[in-house]
Amino acid sequence: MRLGKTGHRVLAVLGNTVVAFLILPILVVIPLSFTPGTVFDFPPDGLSLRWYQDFFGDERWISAAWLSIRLGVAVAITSTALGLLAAIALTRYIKKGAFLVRGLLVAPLIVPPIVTAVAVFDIYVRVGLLRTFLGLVVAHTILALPFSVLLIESALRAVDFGPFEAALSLGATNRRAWRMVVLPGITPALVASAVFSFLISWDEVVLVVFIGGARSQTLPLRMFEFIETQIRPTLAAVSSLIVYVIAAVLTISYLRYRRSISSPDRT
Amino acid sequence: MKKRGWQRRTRRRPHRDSLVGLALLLPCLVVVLLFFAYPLIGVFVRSVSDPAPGISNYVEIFSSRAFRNILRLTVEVSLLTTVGCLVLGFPVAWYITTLEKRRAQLFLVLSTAPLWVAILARLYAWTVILGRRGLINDSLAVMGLVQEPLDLLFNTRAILIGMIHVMLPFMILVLYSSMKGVDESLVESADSLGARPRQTFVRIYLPLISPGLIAGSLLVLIMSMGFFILPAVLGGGGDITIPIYVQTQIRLFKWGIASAMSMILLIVTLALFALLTKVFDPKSVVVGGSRR
Amino acid sequence: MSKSIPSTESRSLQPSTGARIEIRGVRHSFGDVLVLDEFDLTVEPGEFLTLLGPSGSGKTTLLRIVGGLTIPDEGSVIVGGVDMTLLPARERGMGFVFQNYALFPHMTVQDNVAFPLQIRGISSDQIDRDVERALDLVNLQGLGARLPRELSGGQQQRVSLARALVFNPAVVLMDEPLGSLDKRLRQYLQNSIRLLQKEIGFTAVYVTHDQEEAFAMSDRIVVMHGGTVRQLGVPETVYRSPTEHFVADFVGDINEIEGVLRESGHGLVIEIAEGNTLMVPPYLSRSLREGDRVLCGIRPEMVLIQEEPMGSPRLQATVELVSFHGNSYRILSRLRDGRRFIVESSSSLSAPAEGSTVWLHWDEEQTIVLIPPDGQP
Ligand SMILES: Nc1ncnc2c1ncn2[C@@H]1O[C@H](COP(=O)(O)OP(=O)(O)OP(=O)(O)O)[C@@H](O)[C@H]1O
Ligand SMILES: [Mg+2]
Repeated sequence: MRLGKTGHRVLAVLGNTVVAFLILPILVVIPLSFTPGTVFDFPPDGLSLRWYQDFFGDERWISAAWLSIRLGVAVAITSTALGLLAAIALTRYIKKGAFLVRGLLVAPLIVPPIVTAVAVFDIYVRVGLLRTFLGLVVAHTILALPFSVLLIESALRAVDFGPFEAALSLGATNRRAWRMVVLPGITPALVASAVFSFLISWDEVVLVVFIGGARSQTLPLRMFEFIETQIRPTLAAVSSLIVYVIAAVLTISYLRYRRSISSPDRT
Repeated sequence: MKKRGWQRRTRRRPHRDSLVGLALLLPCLVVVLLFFAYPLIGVFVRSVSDPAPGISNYVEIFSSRAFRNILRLTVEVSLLTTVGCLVLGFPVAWYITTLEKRRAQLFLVLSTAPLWVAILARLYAWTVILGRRGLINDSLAVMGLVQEPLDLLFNTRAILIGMIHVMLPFMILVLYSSMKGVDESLVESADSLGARPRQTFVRIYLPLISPGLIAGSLLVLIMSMGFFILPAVLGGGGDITIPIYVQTQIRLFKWGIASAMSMILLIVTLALFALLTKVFDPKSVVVGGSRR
Repeated sequence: MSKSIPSTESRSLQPSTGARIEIRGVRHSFGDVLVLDEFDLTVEPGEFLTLLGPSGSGKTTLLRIVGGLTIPDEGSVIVGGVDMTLLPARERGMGFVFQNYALFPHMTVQDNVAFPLQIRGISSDQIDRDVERALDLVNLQGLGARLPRELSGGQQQRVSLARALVFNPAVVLMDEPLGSLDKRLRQYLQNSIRLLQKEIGFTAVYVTHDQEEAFAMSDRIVVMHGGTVRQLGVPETVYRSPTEHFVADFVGDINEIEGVLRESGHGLVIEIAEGNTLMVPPYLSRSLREGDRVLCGIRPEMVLIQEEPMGSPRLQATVELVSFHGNSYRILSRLRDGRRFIVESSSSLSAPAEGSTVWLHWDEEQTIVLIPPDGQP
């Protein structure tokens, strides 16, 4: 529904203000990350990279970041692989009970993270997975699986299996037909699943607070403990680095989107 | 001729197919059953068996004044977050629907961009803004408006601001998609039938987007109730929400109480979620306004 | 400018007092696409006027401008003597029927039809009576409690008609209201709409791209193309005497034969294939000279098929395909110069055998003579 001129102007002001409220607060970490002092000074007395040096020079920060990256990659692979198998089963093989299975796999999305954390913590204590890499991979895979299954399943359902059968009838082997017909159709979903799974793991704090620790300290966990105990703005440098990466990725994908919508209708 | 197609095979050998299906599902099921469902049941069992069998944990929780405060704080903060997200999200989503494609996309990217930034980076930013030596207090001091720095951080209000900031993108997405789904010709039709914009808004537009309003609100409410990190970072010592309480009890090895509290949170969440799926049920898409 | 709805004016309108619509010099573009160009049109009170044209010819745009849903870049819209160009739709008091019906999905049929009355602050007794009468009018008695999605397409269309009529508008605008219905239902609703319009007397502007529908319903037809009026007239004239090739082709099947002007003993004649000559229609006699080329169009149903060479003009042809269409045969034939020629003959006559040689004859006065568009023979 469109508004009249005045109405639209009011809406524009409100809309822009709220979007500013969403974006600007996140950006305050950037000027802070370049201050020479330990607190926000305005106007700043010069620029300094000392907090970035603090981050890159500190073994604990680096190893936390590295652990998070390895963990994210492991979760991306595991969750996407398991999700693919489950999605194939749900679309092609399981008829009865598919609803239940899907419900079970998606449940971790709905259960509050703190409750999942208590449950996982409890079992990990008993089986000895506490503070292990494997333990983290498993826990994060549980959280990422709902996305993987849903994404891949809907992509599989959209695949046209006509050519697949045609390929079989022309003498292709089952595996070859899969590679040539089905795989291209679901590749975007597999990529999306991997990216999502990575991000879920990368940003997960609640479970890690319970099941991570000393030797398995992920970046979010270190940030969490740092926020609670330290006042040095090293965190500003870390946050800024994260913002730079996200801003770059979003800008690139938005520009690509723009090109994709402007090119066809200019012809 | 389609001879050995998959679909053919599923139809021909149902028994074998369900075995294959099970084999494919096995890895997932093992992980989810063993490390999620089973321990979740364990949590329930704990809640009625630790330290002694029976419902003593629940009795203790419901009879304690402290719990009532915890519950009230959790619900209050979640509800206020929901209202805040509605109030702020509505104009943004509406504004985006009136923009042409490119600008709409830009605004959608901008308003969901925070979702991609690590939550702790966002929370840290708020501590920088609200802290005693933070951006706001600094600015106020420079302008000479305050002598003593204001206590903006580590209180319920800070939690609320943070929650709204974190949840708002979700609300915008849900509202936007429901607003985008409104057929513009219905609005024009009301216009041509003589309705003033306010009448069109109240009698046509609002009822049509009400499923989105309800779904967005429930989504925000559900997610807000489960927040743990956010109140831990932005809240003060007195701001104990259910998730925070659960964690402290675990630290004190009071497993029974922690489990019972978890169960209560889980049940409330599931109840709200059941409501949410009702709203999304295609048969009841039209909520409210169907009768005068 | 008054902000109130013209409820008093529109309600005081007696039956058969539709308003005159004058569209003057309307020009409109979307971006750099010019959709309407210097458009002039007057719709008489109580007239049923149809805008006919191919997709993209600007019909919807024109209708929306009349209805106040689009403000034109230039020009004015005067309704009942009042300049309404800048008036918002809600203050124009016109009924608008949308192609997709645009029923409010969350309201019952009753509430949908009552909506314009409630907006006008009419008492609920009166509303109930008016709604009932409107539903009677479109033959939907007893369906008031249903939701739109519980109705068939035709029923939904009738609800949207009832809703557009219930407040007695002097003007009703309809944008392809029957576009998505099947043929039988279309014909049925064409009749009901036309009967209602005659009975009530509102001015109707109707949009369609279906020429049969336009012929069946209208007092006059406007053939539009590229945002301009190509021909305006009563259906028979538009069909029988199209003024240009586009119109001739768009409003029905036509066989085209080239002709050249020759001087004969009694003046100019048109010479076509096989030595036939046709007289020059009087309205063209002044603009044509010897040697000019023209296009002669012959409608398929004007042609008589004969087994012997008789009458004039006549052309020899070979029958290639005969298809049966219930009340007619369509005969696809080929002239001696290789051109296709379609004939439609009543199925009460016997059809020629495929492969046989026949002679095609028509009344010379029925020939449509057109000056060919530039760049075509
Ligand atoms: N809102 C709009 N924005 C941009 N271009 C438009 C818009 N509406 C119509 N057009 C363009 O204007 C031209 C005329 O459109 P219009 O809808 O009036 O045609 P129409 O005669 O109603 O066609 P149809 O029979 O397909 O409904 C078309 O080229 C169309 O693409
Ligand atoms: Mg149209």
